[in-house]
Amino acid sequence: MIHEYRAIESILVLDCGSSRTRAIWIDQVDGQYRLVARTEAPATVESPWNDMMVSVRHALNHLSEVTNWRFMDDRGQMIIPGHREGGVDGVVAVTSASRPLRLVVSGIIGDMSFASTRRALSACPVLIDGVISVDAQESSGFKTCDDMQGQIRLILESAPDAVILVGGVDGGASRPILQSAEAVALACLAMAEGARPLVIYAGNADLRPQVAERIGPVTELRAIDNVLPSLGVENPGPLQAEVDELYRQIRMERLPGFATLASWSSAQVLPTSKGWMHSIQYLARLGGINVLGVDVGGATVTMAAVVDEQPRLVIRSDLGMTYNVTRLLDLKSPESIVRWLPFEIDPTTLRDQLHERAIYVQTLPQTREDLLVEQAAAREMVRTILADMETQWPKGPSLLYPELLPKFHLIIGGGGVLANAPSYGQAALILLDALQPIGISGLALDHAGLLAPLGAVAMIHPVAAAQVMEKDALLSLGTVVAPVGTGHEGEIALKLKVTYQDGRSLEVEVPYGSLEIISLPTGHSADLELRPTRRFDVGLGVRGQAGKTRVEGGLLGIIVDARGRPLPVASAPEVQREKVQHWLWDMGS
Amino acid sequence: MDYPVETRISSLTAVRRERILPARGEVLVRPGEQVEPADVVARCLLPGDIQVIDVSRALRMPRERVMPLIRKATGEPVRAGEVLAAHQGALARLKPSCRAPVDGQVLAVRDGRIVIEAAATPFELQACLPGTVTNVMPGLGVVIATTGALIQGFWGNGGEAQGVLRLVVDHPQRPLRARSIDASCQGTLIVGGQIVDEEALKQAVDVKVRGIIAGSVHAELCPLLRSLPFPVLITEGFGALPMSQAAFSLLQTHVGREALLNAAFQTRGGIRRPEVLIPLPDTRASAREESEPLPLQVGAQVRILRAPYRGMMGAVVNLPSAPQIVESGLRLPVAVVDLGEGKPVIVPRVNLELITSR
Repeated sequence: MIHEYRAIESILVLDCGSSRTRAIWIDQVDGQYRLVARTEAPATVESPWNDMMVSVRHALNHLSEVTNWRFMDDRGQMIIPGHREGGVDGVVAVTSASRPLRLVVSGIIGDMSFASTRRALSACPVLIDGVISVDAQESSGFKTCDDMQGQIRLILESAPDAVILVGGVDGGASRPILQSAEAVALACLAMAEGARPLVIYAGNADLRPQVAERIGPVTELRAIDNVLPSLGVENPGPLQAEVDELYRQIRMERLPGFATLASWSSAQVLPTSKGWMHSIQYLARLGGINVLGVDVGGATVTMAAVVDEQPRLVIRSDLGMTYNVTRLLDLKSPESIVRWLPFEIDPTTLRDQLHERAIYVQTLPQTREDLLVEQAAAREMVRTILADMETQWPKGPSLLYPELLPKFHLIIGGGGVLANAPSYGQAALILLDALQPIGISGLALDHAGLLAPLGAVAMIHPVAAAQVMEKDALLSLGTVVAPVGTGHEGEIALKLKVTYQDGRSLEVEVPYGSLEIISLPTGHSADLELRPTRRFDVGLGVRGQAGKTRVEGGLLGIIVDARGRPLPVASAPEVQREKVQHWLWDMGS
Repeated sequence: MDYPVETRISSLTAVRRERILPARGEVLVRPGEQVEPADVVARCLLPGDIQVIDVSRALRMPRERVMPLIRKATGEPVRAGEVLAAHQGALARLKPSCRAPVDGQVLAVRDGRIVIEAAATPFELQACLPGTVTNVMPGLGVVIATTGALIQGFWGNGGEAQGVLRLVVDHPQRPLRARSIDASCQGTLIVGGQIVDEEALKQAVDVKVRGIIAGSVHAELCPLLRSLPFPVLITEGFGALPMSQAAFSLLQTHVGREALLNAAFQTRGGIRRPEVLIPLPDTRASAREESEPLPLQVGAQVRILRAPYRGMMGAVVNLPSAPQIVESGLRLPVAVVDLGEGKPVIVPRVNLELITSR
């Protein structure tokens, strides 16, 4: 049911995560849509509750207490539309509480279509459990198998929700694809009828009849457009749409309590990652700018970007600060996490701490050491998803240095570890260390967890979404100036002159290796005159090139990150620890 | 109202436990029936391994020419060594044939290949507990109600076992050592304070213990624990924590009794907590198992889950209404907990676990 949005004055937004549930009330204040209040409660999708709506009602009861406004009737049902004594005119919901889809991909690892498939699936909430391929490669990072018996066993052991069968361009190779189809069909035959996975075929379109002949009689087959119809032309949309729909059907809709949530919602319940992407795209369109947003959730990390008008989305359903924190230890060495800490911790203790975090998902750090360990883990998670994204950056004018981040005008961090960091300096430093932006970028926090839900609000009321986005969603930390280049510690990397709106000015020389904060409060702007020395580029594509720009203030102000790009890590751990401590002090935390 | 995670350490409680088949099968008991641990309550057939036989390769013939030579059709049974396909004609005996590698059934004959599913293995599901069958889920399993002492754990390596409880340490802080695990531990569930080395685990495998119950283990040993042929239950956490006195004392009380160790563990998509259940006759009026979540209240016994008081137990003495800023800088709702060691401490409520005896 889509509401006529002109009639909607108040909106309740429900964000049901894997660890927490948030209730957010948006209403008209002085003719503008604003965030009125938000509350949260621990998620209850798992036992002993086994009902996501219990936490929704906990959060709504709390919201009623703090606002003195009734949202539910005596039977615990939503009051909709709103009237004088309570209720709201519309409800929207996003959720990331469901586990990802488990897939087996059948393709040819060395083939370009396999790379296209991986890229397409990286924007979906999935886990690839294994790959069956005629050219199985240990180094591919997947559980692989190249002989038919092994392929059948792999499918039987994985018991995936779906098999994605790909390979070849339209009119191209047929034999390996049909061999794979045969293995998939035989594996399905060996499974009980109700347990057979769905097969999605997104390969050489000419082979659809032969693939259907093999697979059609044994399990449900959905044939869609080729993910790589011709060399150099990727077509990820149909595969992504099919997988997203499957995720909705067999994951989201089976969450306990989802039917009630859906019945309350005025629009389709969105996966949180999709809401996040919608909002990043909106901000990019609004300003005609490049925007990067990373959301570090409990069970999922999402990175969405718009670069030179091209959207990109990567979802890591195997990483997160609670349930999936230990996966990080499979992907990264303990040393790579420890390098972000100002104190010594042995790898065994680090492992113990992160493994316990994955079990006691509701807990939060009481000590500074525990907090910094979680923030260090968050940095490496962001770096992991960034590595996935790096293969997808558009080769446009914003990609000045292929080994570094493209130029972004705005960088946004979200998720509890960033939004709830005790100091803004800590949140900013996590983003700077992990992303290592270049040139000049605005830095903001999704402090109220509104960004993904507003992507859903836009479906029923784009004006309300836009107004809340502008006024309440983002907390500006300030502007980062990050020169690209390397030098000697202490050598001047950049001279800059800040001219404030009241005419006062300030000249600063920033040495290489340092982090400097120059005050510029929220709501103020200043003119910056940048004069990098000959080994440094301030995002203009030329080293030593001077430039002028106007920048906006924020809670921290202007952050000059002259630590170098790429950010060097000291080889001696004690030196690195000392550096990290100085960075934290520099950022005021 | 806060509803923390609850861990039950109970000297006598009523429990209902599902006993579920690994594959669909047949339930052999009825509701109301009394069962003993060794009774078989359900059975099924576990599917056999899949074998793909490439007839074309075996007969050294092109794929398109082998189909007429295949002697078996889909659904037919086969015996190990039986000829599945062979050349025809006068010289056929001199040429290779294709034989079944295992007993089983032909699942498919396609494209010059025969797929055989090896003969299924019968599986019998034992009750593992003495009690009354309260529910039957046709084809799937049963629910058994019983009474006994219960200790819920923190982590388990999967699997389950029954055995006599045996303490191999005299204090909850003492680690399991290989030298303490001797031949007399065979067939028992051994209890130790901590698991600190692989030697003790190897010794436990060698003497064929039925399971291990310990207070803590370093997380880096988890992959090894998962590969052990018996269940392991950890009661407290990862690291070097002693077993709680409450759990240790309860296990100590029941040394020599039969216990069921279930080390099933899952944190998402249906939480499963590992547990030790020591069946005991109920001398009190039998109660239904309490499963309603308990709120955090003054007086509650709690265990602290994070530093700086990680692993310590105490009682909640106050629940201040206003959130407080803790050392990490986070502003959180807190509880004041008396650890019995002088001044009560402040702990974020989310870092507390209820310890109950219900």
